[in-house]
Amino acid sequence: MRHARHNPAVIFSCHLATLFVVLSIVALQCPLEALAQGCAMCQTVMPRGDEPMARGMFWSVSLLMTAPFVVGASIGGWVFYQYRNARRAQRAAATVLPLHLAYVQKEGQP
Amino acid sequence: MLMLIGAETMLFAGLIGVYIAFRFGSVAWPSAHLYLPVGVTWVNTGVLLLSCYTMHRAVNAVRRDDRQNLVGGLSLTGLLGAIFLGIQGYEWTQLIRDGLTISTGIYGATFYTLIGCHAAHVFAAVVWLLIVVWQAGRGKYSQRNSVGVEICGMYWYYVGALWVVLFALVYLN
Repeated sequence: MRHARHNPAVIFSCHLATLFVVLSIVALQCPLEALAQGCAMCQTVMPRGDEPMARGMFWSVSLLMTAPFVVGASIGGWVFYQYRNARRAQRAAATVLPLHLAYVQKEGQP
Repeated sequence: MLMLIGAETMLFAGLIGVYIAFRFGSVAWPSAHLYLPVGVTWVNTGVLLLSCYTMHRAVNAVRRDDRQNLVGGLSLTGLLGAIFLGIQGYEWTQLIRDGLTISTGIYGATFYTLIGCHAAHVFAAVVWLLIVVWQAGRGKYSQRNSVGVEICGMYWYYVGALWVVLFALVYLN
């Protein structure tokens, strides 16, 4: 039975998650105000960033940007958690072979 | 069920985003205590959280193959959900009588849209729960066949957790 850490799908998923975390850390080094000003619609409708509506739009857009990633990560994490529990239960339920019966002493052998 | 919950989360994320945009974008946003019955809503929140506990008891009962406690737990959960909707509906009649309607302004529009959408989800959850109670009474669910109860429970927990977020956002500002 192949261990989970040797499963190519698990290895690929771990590499993908690591890449995503690294890119997220790099992206978060940019100031949040700079990211919000990157939206052409926001710059057109609200050229002045100190208006109350601009502040409201900023928080609203930040929430909506993060929502899909939070939902995806939660579902993916739940599926992975269930997978690990199932593997653990499968390994615990696996029968242990009676190895002491594997060798049968033949007549004349010491 | 996880896909459904993810889709519902995105729906409410959009509605909450709209609320946040208008809430922080307004120069003068009325305090919740001026219009909304916060005290009664605290009680209503307790009712919904208690229903989540009774649902948890019902799910544990079906895993133990305890049919009597399953039907009792599900029935109590449905009753608490109906009480939640009844109190919510009564609050709304009082608000409409006091002059806060969906066409009053941005405050009324966002309030009724956000809370009304949640109420519609609770209503659908109660209807679903009544069907599950009926089938549980006929003996359809057991320890080996508990998926129907468990996914209904997942949706009920989601509706309860969502209400906590909406309550904190709309009523406690």
